[in-house]
Amino acid sequence: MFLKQLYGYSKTGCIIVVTFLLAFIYINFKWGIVAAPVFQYGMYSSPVHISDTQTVYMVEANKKIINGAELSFTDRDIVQLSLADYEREGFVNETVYNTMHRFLGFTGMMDHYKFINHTNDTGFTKWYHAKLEKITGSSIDSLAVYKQHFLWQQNTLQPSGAPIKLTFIVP
Amino acid sequence: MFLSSTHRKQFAVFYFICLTIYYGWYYYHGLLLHQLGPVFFHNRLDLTANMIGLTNLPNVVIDHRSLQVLFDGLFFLLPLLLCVSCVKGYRWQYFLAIVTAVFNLVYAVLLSSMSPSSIEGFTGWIMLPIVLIFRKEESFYYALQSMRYFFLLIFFSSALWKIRAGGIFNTEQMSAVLLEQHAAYLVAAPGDWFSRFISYLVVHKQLSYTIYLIATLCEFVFLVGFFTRKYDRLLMIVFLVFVTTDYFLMRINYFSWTAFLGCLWFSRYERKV
Repeated sequence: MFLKQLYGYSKTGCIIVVTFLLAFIYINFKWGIVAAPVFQYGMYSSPVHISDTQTVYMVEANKKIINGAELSFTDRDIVQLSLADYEREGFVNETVYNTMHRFLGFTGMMDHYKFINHTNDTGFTKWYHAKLEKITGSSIDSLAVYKQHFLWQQNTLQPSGAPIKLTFIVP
Repeated sequence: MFLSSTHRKQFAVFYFICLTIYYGWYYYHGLLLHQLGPVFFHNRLDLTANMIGLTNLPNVVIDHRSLQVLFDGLFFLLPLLLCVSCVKGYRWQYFLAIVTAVFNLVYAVLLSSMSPSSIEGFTGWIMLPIVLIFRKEESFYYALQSMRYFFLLIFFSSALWKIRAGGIFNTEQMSAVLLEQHAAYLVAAPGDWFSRFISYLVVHKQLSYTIYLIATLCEFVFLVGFFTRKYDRLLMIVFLVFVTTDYFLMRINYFSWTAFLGCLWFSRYERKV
C-alpha cells in the first residue's frame, strides 16, 4: 500500500500527504468554505431546470446591441460576467467578510477596508467602456446596458418581463 | 524500469510546456492581470484567499499597474527558472519549486477574483511545482505518486458531487446546464449552427442527459487509479476526451489540468531503492 510505503520512507511526508487528503475530504464533506488549493469540484452538480429563469445583459453600444455570438467565448464572459460580478460585489464581499471574520478575526488584521472595493460606478463604467472598445475594436460614444430575463418557451429563449436598465452604468 | 532524474527533467519540461501554452492562450485572450487592468475584485468563501486579503493585496494590485505587470511576468518566469534549474540540476531547485507553488497560489487567488477565470483551473500550476521540490529519485517518486492520487481525487470527487448534490438524478440536468451556460449566445444568435446544436440538445433531454451521465462516468472511472496504475494511459485518454468535450460543448477551458498527465505518464516507473 502506497501510504504504508511512504510512511516507511518518510514519516513527515506521509503526515503531510494524509493531512492534505483529509483536508480535501473534510472540505468536500462540509460543503461550505474552501481553502485554496483544496477546492470543491462540484460544478454543475446541483439540480437545475429548463424552467429556470436565465438572465442576459443586453449591451447597447452606439444605439446598437452588441452581438455576443460574434465575440470569442472569453470576451463574451468578460462582457457578461463582469457586469454580473460588479452588480453583486457589494453584497458578496460584505457577506464573505462577515463569515470569514469568525475565522480570521483573531488575527486583528481583518480591517473592513481591505475586503471591500474602492471603485465606484463611474470607475467601473470607465473600465467597462474601455474594455468594450477593445473587444469590439471600435470607439463607443454611447453605452447603455439592460438586464433581461428569459424563459425557455416553444424551444427558444423568450424575453420575460421588461428589460431593466442598469443604473450603475453611468453616462 | 526505474524512475530516474531524466524523468524528473522530462516532467519539469512537460509542466513548463503546458504552462507556456496556457499562458499564451491567456495572453491571446487578454486575460492576464495587466491586460484586464481590473478595477474591482469579488471575494469568496476561501480561507486562503481571505488570508491573502489580510495583507490588502487585492486592493494594492488593483491600484498599481506595475504590480500587475510584475505578477504576470513572474507567473511565467518562475516556472521557466524552475524548469531550467531542474534540467541543469541546480541546487536551488527546491527553493524555486516552493516559491513557484506559493506564488502561483497567490496569483491564482488574485486573477480569479478579478476576472471570469475559475480558480480550480489553476490547481495544476499551484500543486505540480511541489513534485519538483525533490531532487532525490525516491523522494521524487513519492511526490509524483502523491500528486497522482490528488489528481485522481479531483475527478473522482467531481463524480461524487454529482451524486451527492443530486444533479445525476435530474433527467433534464444537462439541458438546463447548457441553457444556463449559453443563454447569452442563444439570445444573440438563435439561428446560428452552434445555437441550433445547443437548442437541439436542450430539447432532446434524454440525449443531453446521456452526455451528462457519460461525463459523470468518465469522472467516476478515475476511482480505478486508486487500486492500480495499469490503466493510467486509458485514464489519460478519458481525461483528454473529457476536457475536449468540455471545451467544445460548454466553452470551458480545463486544458490547464493537462499538466497533471505527467503524473499518470510517469506512474509506471518504479522507485529506485
